[in-house]
Amino acid sequence: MAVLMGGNLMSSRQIVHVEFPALDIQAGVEFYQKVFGWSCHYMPEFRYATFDAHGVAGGIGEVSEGGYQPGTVVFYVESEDVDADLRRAEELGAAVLIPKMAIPGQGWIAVFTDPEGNRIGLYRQGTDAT
Amino acid sequence: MKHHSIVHFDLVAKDRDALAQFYQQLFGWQYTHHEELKYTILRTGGGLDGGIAGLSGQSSGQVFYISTDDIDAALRKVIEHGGTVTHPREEVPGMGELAYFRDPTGNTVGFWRGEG
Repeated sequence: MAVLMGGNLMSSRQIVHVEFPALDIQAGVEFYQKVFGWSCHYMPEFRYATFDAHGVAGGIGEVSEGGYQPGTVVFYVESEDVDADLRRAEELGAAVLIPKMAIPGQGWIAVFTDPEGNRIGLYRQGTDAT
Repeated sequence: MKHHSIVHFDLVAKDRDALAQFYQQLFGWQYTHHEELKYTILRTGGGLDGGIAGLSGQSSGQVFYISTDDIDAALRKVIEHGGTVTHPREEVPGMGELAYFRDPTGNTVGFWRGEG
């Protein structure tokens, strides 16, 4: 998302979404609601729950065979151009974990592992994503 | 009681300087090394800031931190709701206190109480 700053169009490279997987999404939702008062929204049809951690957005995804394992957090960074950011990350030594994909009605994401193995996502908001 | 928001994130690295340069080149994030803590602070330019923990340090991996003004009380509440303490409250000299727990879904999460 672009923010107008001092007359120049500057890209914001903030963490906009914090995500972690769960074998039992509903159990995760209950835990973070009860212990921390986070506002959570479970969407069984997407096997995903979004949360608002008092101003910080995130989600709980479903553990998948051979992919998303418990204990693997992903921090998503705002991106104006997911393809360009992914190419640049690869040039600098990162490996693509999840190629760019559309989240219909929400935007586009991709996930890479940095040269030390940390998982970082890219996120571009866009309601026209299909 | 303060809101339990997410206030910080950690990445881990064998080579903190190389990884800090990676994120500076990719996202323009600024960094400051703290050799005494084997830790590098990352400033993302707004919102959530983070850091890179050295693998030889007290690292608990890639985690996010939840703010609290009473870590022990927060850990008790975590236990009551099915979580487990993986690292009890510890002082980070000059900065604050931290602890780590595992939530019922298997993720390791940090608590952070900053000084001042």
